[in-house]
Amino acid sequence: MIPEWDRNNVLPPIFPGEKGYSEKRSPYKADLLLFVETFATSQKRIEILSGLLDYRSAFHQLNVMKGFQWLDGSFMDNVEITEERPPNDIDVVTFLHIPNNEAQKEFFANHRHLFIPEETKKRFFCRCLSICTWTAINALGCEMDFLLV
Amino acid sequence: MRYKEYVSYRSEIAQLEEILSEIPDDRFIEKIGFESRLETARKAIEGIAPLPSPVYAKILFRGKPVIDTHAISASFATKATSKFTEVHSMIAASLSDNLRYMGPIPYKQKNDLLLTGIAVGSFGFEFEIPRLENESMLEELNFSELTMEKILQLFQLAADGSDDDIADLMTEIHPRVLKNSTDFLSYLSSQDAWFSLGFKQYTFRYESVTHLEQSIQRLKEDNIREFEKEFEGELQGILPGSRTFEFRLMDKQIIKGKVGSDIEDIDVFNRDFLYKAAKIHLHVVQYGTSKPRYSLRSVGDLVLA
Repeated sequence: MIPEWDRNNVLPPIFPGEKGYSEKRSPYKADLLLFVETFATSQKRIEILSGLLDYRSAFHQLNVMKGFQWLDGSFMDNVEITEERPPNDIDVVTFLHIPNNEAQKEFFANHRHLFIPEETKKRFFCRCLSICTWTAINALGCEMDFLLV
Repeated sequence: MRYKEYVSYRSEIAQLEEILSEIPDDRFIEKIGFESRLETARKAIEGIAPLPSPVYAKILFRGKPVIDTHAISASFATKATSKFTEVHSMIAASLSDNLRYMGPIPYKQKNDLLLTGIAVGSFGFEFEIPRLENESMLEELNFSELTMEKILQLFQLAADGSDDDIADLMTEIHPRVLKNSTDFLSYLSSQDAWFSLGFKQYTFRYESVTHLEQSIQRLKEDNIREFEKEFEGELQGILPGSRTFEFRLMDKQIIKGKVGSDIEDIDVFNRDFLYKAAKIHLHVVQYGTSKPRYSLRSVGDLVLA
């Protein structure tokens, strides 16, 4: 579940109504459909979400099937109210499992447009803050799900 | 760039460098994001000289308009803070010898305090003391800090000092400051409120509204006697920096006083009157039972005998 923005126009640190020690807290786990439904509230936001989908699709095409993403930045805030402007992009930290045990250096060299922040911002409206390879991803066994920060 | 922003970048750079040093070289992709961010942070502060740490003052209000640490009356907070900042501007102008007896406060905007946050303790505000653009970073105490020290000193002496202490302070600050300060205190008293002021290692605190009202009584105009008096003797000299004069009377007694800020050229006195028999017309201020304080307010107030 994704909570609504609080009175500070940001996602609350703990889900409303939950006790302070509750596990229902940020980062909130969400599936793609719920995330898009919640945040596709303007043309600009739809544009950014399309970019995010294209970004994820680019990884899928490389056979990256295991991982998750943290999403943050002004996209996750009610920036239309706090700063009277639409979001420009979405901040993304990606945790992924490189397929076929390819060496990182080669994987990067072959697909650098997915790793350089300036490139990902230009192509996908995604500010790629960091990408972490996750060798222990089997512990969660999740597909390219993502969490909200 | 603000100091906090600069420090934040420096901190981020240090953290990123540490993270990168711990990532093995073959973890190429993981390094990219951190390296990109490190480059961004370094570029952001490239060429920016290290900034001095800002200095803060904290004013905390207590009394009827304050509800513990929860809230403060908005109208009270607005008015009280505004009156306080006016005291600051006026003292700043007075210390720079720019304050006149009437008219707008000079350089008010330049000396304006910056409200940077809520102060915890009761309910109050944190101010950043502005540093003027051309002020040397090597100076131990900048002008705005000196102003804040004088404010503290003023209220401390008004509360607990002797009449002579207050009279001494009055030679440094313009009489308009006193009226302004009394206005601020009187407003607080009318709202059944009092305050404490903290700056660096100094804190001054009124214990109650009664304590504050005692200061108002001491600073009130009817506790100050002002009159004009003429003396005969010889001018011994005027110091240009402190604008202090010495005048030897006929009975050899020395009167010391200040040359008023309205007199721009004080060299004329040393040039035309030094060691010559003269009559001097002085403005005398006597605070409570303190010794009188003398000031020379006009060039025409010193004439050859």
